[in-house]
Amino acid sequence: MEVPYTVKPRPDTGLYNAKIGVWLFLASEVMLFGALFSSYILLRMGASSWYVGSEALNVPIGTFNTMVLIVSSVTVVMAWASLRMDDLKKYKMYMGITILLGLVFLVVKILFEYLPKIDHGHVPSEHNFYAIYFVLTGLHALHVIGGLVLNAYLWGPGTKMWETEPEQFTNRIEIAGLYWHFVDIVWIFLFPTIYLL
Amino acid sequence: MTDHHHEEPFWRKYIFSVDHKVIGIQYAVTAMIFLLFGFCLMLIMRWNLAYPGEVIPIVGKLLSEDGMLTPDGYNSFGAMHGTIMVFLGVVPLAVGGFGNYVLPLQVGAPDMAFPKINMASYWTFFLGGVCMLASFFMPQGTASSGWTMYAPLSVIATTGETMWLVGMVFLITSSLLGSVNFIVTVIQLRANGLTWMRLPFFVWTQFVTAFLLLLAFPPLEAAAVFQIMDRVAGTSFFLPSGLYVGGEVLNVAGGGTPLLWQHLFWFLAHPEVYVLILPAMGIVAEVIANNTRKPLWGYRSMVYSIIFLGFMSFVVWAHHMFLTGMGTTMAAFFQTTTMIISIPSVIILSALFISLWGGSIRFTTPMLFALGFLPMFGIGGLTGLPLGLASADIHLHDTYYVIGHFHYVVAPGTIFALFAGIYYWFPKVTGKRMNEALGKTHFYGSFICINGVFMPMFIQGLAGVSRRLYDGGSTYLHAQPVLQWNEFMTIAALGLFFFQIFFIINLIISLAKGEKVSSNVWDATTLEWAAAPSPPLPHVNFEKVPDVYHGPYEYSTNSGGNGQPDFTPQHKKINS
Amino acid sequence: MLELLKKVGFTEGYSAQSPAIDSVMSWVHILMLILFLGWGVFFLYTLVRFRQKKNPKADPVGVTNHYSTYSEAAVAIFEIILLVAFSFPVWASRVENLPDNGDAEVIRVIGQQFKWNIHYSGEDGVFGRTVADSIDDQALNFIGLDRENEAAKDDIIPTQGHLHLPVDRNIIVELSTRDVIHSFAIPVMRVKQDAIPGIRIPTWFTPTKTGSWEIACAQLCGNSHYEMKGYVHVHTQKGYEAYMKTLSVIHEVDDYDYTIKSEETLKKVLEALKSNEAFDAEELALLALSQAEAAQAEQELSGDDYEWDEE
Ligand code: HEA
Ligand code: HEA
Ligand code: CUA
Ligand SMILES: [Cu+2]
Repeated sequence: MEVPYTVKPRPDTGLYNAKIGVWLFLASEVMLFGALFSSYILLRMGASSWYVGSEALNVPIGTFNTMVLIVSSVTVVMAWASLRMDDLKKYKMYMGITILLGLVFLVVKILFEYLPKIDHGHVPSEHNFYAIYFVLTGLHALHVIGGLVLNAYLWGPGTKMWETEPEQFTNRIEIAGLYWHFVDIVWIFLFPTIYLL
Repeated sequence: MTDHHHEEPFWRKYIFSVDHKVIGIQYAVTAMIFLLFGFCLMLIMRWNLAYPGEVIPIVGKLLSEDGMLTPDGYNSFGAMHGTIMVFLGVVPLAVGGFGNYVLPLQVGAPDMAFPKINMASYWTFFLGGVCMLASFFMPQGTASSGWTMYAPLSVIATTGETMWLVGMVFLITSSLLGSVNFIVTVIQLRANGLTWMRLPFFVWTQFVTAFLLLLAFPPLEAAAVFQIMDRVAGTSFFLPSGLYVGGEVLNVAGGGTPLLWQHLFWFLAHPEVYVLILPAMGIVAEVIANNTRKPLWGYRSMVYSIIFLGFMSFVVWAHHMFLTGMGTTMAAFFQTTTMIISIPSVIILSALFISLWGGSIRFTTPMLFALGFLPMFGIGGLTGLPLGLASADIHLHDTYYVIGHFHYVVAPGTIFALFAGIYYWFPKVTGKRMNEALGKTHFYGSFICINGVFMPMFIQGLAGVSRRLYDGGSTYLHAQPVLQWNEFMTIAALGLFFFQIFFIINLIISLAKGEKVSSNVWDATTLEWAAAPSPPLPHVNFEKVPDVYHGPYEYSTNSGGNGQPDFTPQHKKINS
Repeated sequence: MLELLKKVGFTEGYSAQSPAIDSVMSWVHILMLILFLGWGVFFLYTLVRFRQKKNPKADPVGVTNHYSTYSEAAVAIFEIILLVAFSFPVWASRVENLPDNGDAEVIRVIGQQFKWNIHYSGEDGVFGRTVADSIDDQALNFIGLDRENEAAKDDIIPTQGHLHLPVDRNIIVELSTRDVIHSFAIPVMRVKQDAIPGIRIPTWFTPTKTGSWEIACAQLCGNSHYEMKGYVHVHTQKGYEAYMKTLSVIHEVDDYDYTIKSEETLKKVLEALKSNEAFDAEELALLALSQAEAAQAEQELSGDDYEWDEE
């Protein structure tokens, strides 16, 4: 006897297991970032001095990265849609683009933001502004890396599943997509909070 | 039906198993060992409380050259006792152990929704435990700033602290994985006909608990990351500037606040205490319904109560922080929510008391422990009320009154409920039954001793004796009138330990040659007993997926005459 | 109820705020006792009456009345009363409605691993500036008083761990800490307040009885947390003034070393006291003298002279 509803939705809930699972996981992620943002607010309100984000950080690069992530959010949907239309080739392409965009985000982040900052001595211990900047964006970057690993797997070796269980594979892409959207949304909150306010 | 899975190698079957039953047992065994370990730490501490500065018998030589417990040792044992008992003992046993083993069976599921994640959850927990244990071997010892790890003390503490934080991150991750699994299993894998209001109360408690774990733990994860940064990267999330530590001004940027840690910690840790109690209530409810041979009284209101309790538990956290300089409005808010949250507990406890009325009470060992739970949790809960009133908390905060309060809920409360669960489900897991005579000795002995340990704490607390005192307050004059209790409590704790030996022996001999019993030894209605063999089949649990036609506790509701059983299993269709 | 609580360890209350807190304590314990006894009796009676032997056939319905709902409602109402009538107002008076500075003695207490430092503002009523950089334990400057600061000149810092107070006066303790969290607790005065690094939190009370009691540290603050004991010495108004005078003289004689460490210093202080014109009344000087001796005794016995005689 297999675990039911791994692929097909359960009639009365209308969802398959993993979809509920990922929503729950994201709920807990919301709590995680919620706590991080609340801490940011608390620290900032209590601080005697605070940097102006737009002066201390590189807004154009941040904006660029925001765009990158937003586009990648679109392509990941396209990847899923392609599978729904039985087009594995297109899926490969869109998923590939998503992964590339994720990589671009990370590389830009590291090369043009983290490294120059550290070079200029703007390390976390300098001020709580940089501390929270590095922790928030760092944790976000970890999430991006996690997403990249997942997507890369689904783009590469994971694709085998398409032959045997296409429906489940499509579900997996949907879930990976949901996660990727979340990573994107977190950034959309992060960017204005840290870079602009 | 059962033979579609092939023989698995040993390591797949018992070590990296994905079967929820094996994982449940792994969790339970690991947790019990941790409980015993946490207890032993406390015995050493208690010895020192009664006889400060005297050589510790038996293990003294392991602790230090001269065989005594140092103040540092006391603090590190205290922190680890709290951490181990809560995060590595009770939660893994109640949720990881009982939840994993019983919940899928009770909802009629073949396994957890995500068996592999389930396995990952156990092994992450295991890693967390290893981290915590490893810190005992660090050159400077374990974390030692209480289980609450208040900054800045924890930030300036030794490296064991970092281990604690890393271990915590593992434990949090493990809980997240577990809780997602539990929730999805309950939502998706319920048997046909098993509607929400037909779920056994135990399933409800696990369900709510899973939500608490899922949503309350991440903030602590954030806090742990902050504290690791403070310790390793020199940030000052929890440090204001101008601290003078170890003979010099601490060289940090400053600008942080220690209260941030406290908020994040208690935002987890208050829901966490309900994580400790809810599964216990679930177990007790199962055992009581079964042993009174009647349905739970007020099942519905109990369900609504725990849901309400779950929600409320997110908005009371700062009642642990009344004395951190809280203003009137904040204090009023948190006092009010704290009083509100006591009401559902009162409702649940009342319902359990009333459930006894009209029953035909069988005093089996699990029932004794379940009955013991009721007044013990009652005392613990009642003594929470003065703590929840900020103005009374001025006197009681951080005294032994608090220690007494929560131990009554967790030790004779939760631990007793867990014992009830072990005695109750042991035949399910092994097909054998535990020895009743040993079991009853275990109960009566433990019951008397445990009250001897914790009751005097209220007396000391009222006298204003602070907690976490290495010498138990022996140099404080205001402690003098109540000091003699320290020795009394220690002796009682040793007695408590003595009676646990009966349990361990019972466990071993029952495993080896316990009396073989029928599948449904307790004449129970719920699916895990009524619809599955004992022990259940590997991986699939049931010979046939049950369909459910009744509520969970149809005891004595049919005629029951003429040798007919007095109960109606949930999956028995009755033509009427 | 209060009597009952006192039988089981509850301390006496020696501050004007104690009765209010004690009444919350007794009312909530009354509620607890009622619930405990009520349900306890019900529980035991049920166990006996419905044991299997006596009652082989269970009644699946059980209780049909609504008494439990009433009792739950009663608990809720009781709790609301406790909150609104007792706890809120008491809390407000403890933390918000502080007495005016004119109507109170303002004293700073600074926690340190593992001692309590006391800081009086002296005659000018203004506290001198304190900065972490000036902390110098060797020079007995535990709180980092900036000695160049004008306001600091007349500040008085008595022996560590000894807080001297006048009786029947409002006392505002401004609490802070130089390192980790401590908690300033005087159980017999129903006073407890955490000292949080980075902020200064006021707490207030009014001692009503002369004598000496202990200050406990209620928050884990490191390995010697258990030793972080202090004393409150409550004097008559006159005794208090004399004590303060003595200290300021010591301060002048011994240049910032407020603790009478040697026989020699003590002699010097006594000399100064006798010749100082500030003391117009001989009576006062004598009082001060006894205080100086007491201060020395404290130092030597580190508090073992628990209740020395006041007048
Ligand atoms: C399982 C754990 C658990 C549970 C269930 C509770 C339940 C409650 N707790 Fe407790 N609490 C802890 C674990 C728990 N607590 C821990 C671990 C700490 C200390 C942490 C630390 O500082 O280290 C703590 C500390 C703590 C504090 C902080 C004290 C301080 O530090 O100063 C407060 C303050 O409000 C509080 C309040 C309450 C309240 C109001 C309840 C209520 O939910 C209780 C409601 C229950 C009832 C009101 C009982 C009803 C009884 C009857 C109806 C009848 C009884 C009949 C008989 C006995 C026969 N608790
Ligand atoms: C779930 C939580 C839990 C549990 C169960 C316990 C159980 C016990 N605790 Fe603990 N305790 C805490 C959580 C818990 N404690 C916390 C959080 C603190 C605060 C720490 C801090 O200050 O930071 C604390 C602090 C604390 C103190 C105060 C220390 C101080 O302030 O200085 C004391 C003092 O006596 C104490 C005593 C005990 C005793 C005697 C038990 C006994 O009841 C133990 C009984 C144990 C058992 C009955 C388990 C037996 C298990 C088995 C026998 C399993 C069998 C095993 C196999 C088969 C392998 N505890
Ligand atoms: Cu200072 Cu404990
Ligand atoms: Cu709480």
